[in-house]
Amino acid sequence: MPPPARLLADVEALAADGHSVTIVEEHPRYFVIIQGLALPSLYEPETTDLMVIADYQYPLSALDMYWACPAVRINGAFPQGADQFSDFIDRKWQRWSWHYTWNPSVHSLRSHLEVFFDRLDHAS
Amino acid sequence: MKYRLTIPSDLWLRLDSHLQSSAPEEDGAFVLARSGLGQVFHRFVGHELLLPATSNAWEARGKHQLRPSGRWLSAAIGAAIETNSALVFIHSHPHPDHPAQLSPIDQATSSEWARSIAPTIDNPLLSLVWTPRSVNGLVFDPRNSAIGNRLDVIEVVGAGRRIVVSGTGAFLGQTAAVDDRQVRAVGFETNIALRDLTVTIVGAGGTGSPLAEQLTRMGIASITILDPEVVDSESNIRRLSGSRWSDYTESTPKTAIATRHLMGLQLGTNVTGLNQDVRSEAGVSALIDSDIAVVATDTHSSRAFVNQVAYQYWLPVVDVGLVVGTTMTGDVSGMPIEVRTLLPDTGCLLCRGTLDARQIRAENLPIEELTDEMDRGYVQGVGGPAASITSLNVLAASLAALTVVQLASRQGVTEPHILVDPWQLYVQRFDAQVDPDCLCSQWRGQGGNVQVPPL
Repeated sequence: MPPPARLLADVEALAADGHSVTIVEEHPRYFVIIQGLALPSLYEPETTDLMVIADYQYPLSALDMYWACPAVRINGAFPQGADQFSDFIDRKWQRWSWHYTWNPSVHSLRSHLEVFFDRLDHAS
Repeated sequence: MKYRLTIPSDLWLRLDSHLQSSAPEEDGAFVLARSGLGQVFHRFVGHELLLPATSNAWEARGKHQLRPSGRWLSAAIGAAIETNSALVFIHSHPHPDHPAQLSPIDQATSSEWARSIAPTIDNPLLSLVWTPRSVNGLVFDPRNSAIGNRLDVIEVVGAGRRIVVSGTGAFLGQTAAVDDRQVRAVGFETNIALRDLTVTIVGAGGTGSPLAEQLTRMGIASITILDPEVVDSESNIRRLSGSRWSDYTESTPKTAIATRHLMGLQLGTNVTGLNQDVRSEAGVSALIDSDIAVVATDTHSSRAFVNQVAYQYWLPVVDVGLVVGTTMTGDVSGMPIEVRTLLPDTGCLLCRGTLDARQIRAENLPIEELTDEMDRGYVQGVGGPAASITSLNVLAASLAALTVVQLASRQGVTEPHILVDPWQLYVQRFDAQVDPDCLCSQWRGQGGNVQVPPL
């Protein structure tokens, strides 16, 4: 089953922003991986693969949380809410339990990424 | 295959007013209509009215003739191509002596047009004739444009109602003694509308099953009831109309219980049970084939799915839900039932803030991840049995069934979103305005042009 048209459009928009994005399909879910995402200077490593998980009802179904591989630290420690790990698609991912109220009419993959960077800035 | 044209009431009112105002001269207009296929119906959904804007719109126009100019016809064809729509040409026969159907000349002209237009727009051409009393028409398919197929149903939806302006259903209008009290209650006309109705019910549980029984007892023509679940707990037996104890021990599908029970009533309603999730190709087909759908499921995911289909295909939907609230000490704090009517001129469930995107996500999680998130407190109230008592379910079913009756009546639904709490004894009305910034603007009247991703 192909991903929802809106998810594909959002991935294209991120690619147009210069990101390298792949989708791994495990219907009814889709693992969207932004590869080699550059992080703000205080974080280690400098880049990571960032994953979000969408499903077949995206964007009616919310995006929630973020997953990183390799794991990201700040001042040698895991950021707040990012100290748990989960296995997906044969990799161990650091789960960022960061939440907000998703509005399907407003939010997108791009805005989800903006929330991530906004919180990274505040966490640093 | 049968053919149905569904037109939003605001579009219809403008069209009807335009055609009436030109009498005794003939007049006409184009309507752009997207479409989708069910198992029974090819459903066209009118989304844009093209009125003759300039004096040179007609090549010939009079009391007994009407021919659009080549320029206007080309513009209409261009609009159909641009929006991937079928093209509907509707013209009037305002004179009482004119036939209520396409005349032989109309048919020949339509067929000639169809041979060039339908393949050009890669969509059907529909040719309709309007009289002050009725509307009729033919559908010319691009693959076989020489032969027109009868347009079986023309319906107008909105302003609280679903009005059939053309179409003969299974019921031919004889009121039998079995309908006597119902006719006394709602009148002859509404009774006929009910007897012709095809309804899809989503959910054969505590609310869906008594709802199906009430609609069957009202004598509606056809019910399709969808539910993927079987009776897997003893508490189901208390709440499902027509259930027996053996249904628990035999894990009977809920739709099989509904079908057995309703057919056993021998009231003439054609009942089809689909032991499937509505979020499927079969679910979309059943909805496209319906006159009205009722959503009696307790998941946001299913509601979101039907909500989208409803607005893509202008399908009138009655959405019913209930909650039993309890205090910290275990007392009942309320039993609110909400009934929401979805029509082209009302806000969708997203506009109204009914759908919860986080809840939809949670419902779509694999069970082990859902359990993990519930354990961590990220998710609440998903998957487990909801508090329920039969009388409340039956009341919710009754409110939904009466809303179906209102939709089929001339009076229509006056309140598209109500809350009734029989425990606290109050009624509340909610706003149901369309939010112009809502995601639903991308689906409205799109028919099959927009993907509805199935589960």
